[in-house]
Amino acid sequence: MDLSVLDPLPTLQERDWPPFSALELTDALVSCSSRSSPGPDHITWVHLKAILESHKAIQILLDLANACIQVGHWPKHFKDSILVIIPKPGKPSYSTPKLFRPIVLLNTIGKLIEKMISNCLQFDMIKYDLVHPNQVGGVRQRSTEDAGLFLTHLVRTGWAKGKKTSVVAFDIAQFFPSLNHAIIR
Amino acid sequence: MPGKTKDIRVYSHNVAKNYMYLNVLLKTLYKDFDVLFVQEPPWRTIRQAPSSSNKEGDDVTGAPMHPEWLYMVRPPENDQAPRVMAFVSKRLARLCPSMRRDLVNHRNIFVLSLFQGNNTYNLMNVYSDDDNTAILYLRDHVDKLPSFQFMGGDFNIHSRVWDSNVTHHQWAAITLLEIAADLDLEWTQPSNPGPTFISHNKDLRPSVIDLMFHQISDSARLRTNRDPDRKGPTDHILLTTSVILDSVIEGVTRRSIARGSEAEKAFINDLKTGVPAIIVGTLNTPADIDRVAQALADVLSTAWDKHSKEVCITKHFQPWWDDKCTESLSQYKTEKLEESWLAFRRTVKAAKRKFFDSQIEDIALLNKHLWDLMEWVKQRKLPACEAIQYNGQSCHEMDDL
Repeated sequence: MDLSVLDPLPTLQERDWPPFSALELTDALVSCSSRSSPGPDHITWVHLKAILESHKAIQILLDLANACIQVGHWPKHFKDSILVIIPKPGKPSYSTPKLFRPIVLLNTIGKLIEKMISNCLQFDMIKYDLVHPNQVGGVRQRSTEDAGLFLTHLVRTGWAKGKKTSVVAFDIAQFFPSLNHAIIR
Repeated sequence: MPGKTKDIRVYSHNVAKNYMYLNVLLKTLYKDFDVLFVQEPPWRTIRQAPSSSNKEGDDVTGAPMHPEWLYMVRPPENDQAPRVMAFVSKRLARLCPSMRRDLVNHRNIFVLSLFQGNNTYNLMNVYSDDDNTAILYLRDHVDKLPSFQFMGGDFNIHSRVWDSNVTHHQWAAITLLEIAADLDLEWTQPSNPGPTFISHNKDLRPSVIDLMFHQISDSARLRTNRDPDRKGPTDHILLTTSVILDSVIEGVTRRSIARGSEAEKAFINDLKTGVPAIIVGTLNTPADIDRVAQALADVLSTAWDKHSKEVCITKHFQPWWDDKCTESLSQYKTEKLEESWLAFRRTVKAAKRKFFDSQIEDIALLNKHLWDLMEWVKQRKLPACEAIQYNGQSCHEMDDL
């Protein structure tokens, strides 16, 4: 078996992390739904949008976000969460845990900063070509349809060369939770 | 007042498959009762839900629902409609009402468990048909059942023990009393004894076939009543009683600020002045970040505590119900005539049609939120009223999970 996939990746060149701008913050805020439920601090996106009409408040949040990155610390308030267990709809009976879907509601301020970080990472990922072209999940502007297109392309290439092509599909249940934690890091 | 009592108020009635009347009961009883045990519930096709396999859509079948009540029923098997079901008031949410199919899984028997502290209260709702199916089942399985605090329902059994017009005390009645004894129960005579079944066929004389059993019948007697006034168009007189728990029933409350309210405006104003007033200072260490984040959290929670208020959790009412329905229902209640019942049915149908037509028009023409209609066409959701099972065992305690 080839275990080279487990080798440490070559270290890439370190890049600067520019501080967040007020525009990044407001951009991230605009896309937030006014209907979604708040976390344990009860601050909905509507409330947060009202708070962040003030430049002073925006500056405080930006300072906090930049400090989190610089210092490498994520405060406890951003990690507080409510876990809600929702029964999946339309089941005749609810006697197994699989028939429930747990969702976690985090505090919106922490989520806003996470969104800003995610926006930066998404941008850098594409700009510096950091994700494998075959990875479709978790990358903006890529979708299942791309994966389907890629697959049909391979099949048709095979046909064009006069070969028989077949597909072996497999699904790894609970893939992420079963990974060795050392590998994820 | 709910929330300050130890009583579970129980209502038991054979509604003779009357859909509209059960709907009325759900609407009118939620202030007075905590558990409705229904025998012979209506079970009919309500509408079609979109289906992946059937062009016409799959049938959605069931009994009426009401947002104040948890709808508990054993799903029908082999198209046999259930003969017993329970509606449990949402006030009892803290007691984790559970349908115990792990104890009894039978079309004619419904077991409800309520949990309070370390105590479990078991209540049974029985419909025994002319073949005594439920009695036979209970006789064979009673040794596997825990003790019960209450059993009631329509037993279809005559005996001189509960009906002075009957001279015999035969096998079914004897077996029933034996089963009850094995469950630590005794038959309770209502405080106002009398017939519970008055057939629409005038040739049949009224009889007693609806019974209630308690752990100590003497003290339960005063709390147990026949209620002929609420009979409605059915042929059974219902029984009401209460089951007393060891501790006070706590209501489910939480703090909230209504959307768009004055309180919310004041809350937002406090936030708008509070957050910019936070002193940031230097942010060079984790402790600095924690300090600012904590200051932020404090502003938010102070404003929340100041403006939120405690509310009981309830759901929206049936939105189509209008004044005409109330009027027509009260007319039926005073007149108790079949014509006024039919008039009430017509009023309800008209009110529903009017309400849903206007909703559809709103959605189709004004707001164009077509997905809002999905709530109406989906299959019904059964509430999560059964315990999670692990290796065939029901988990009722935190430790079991």
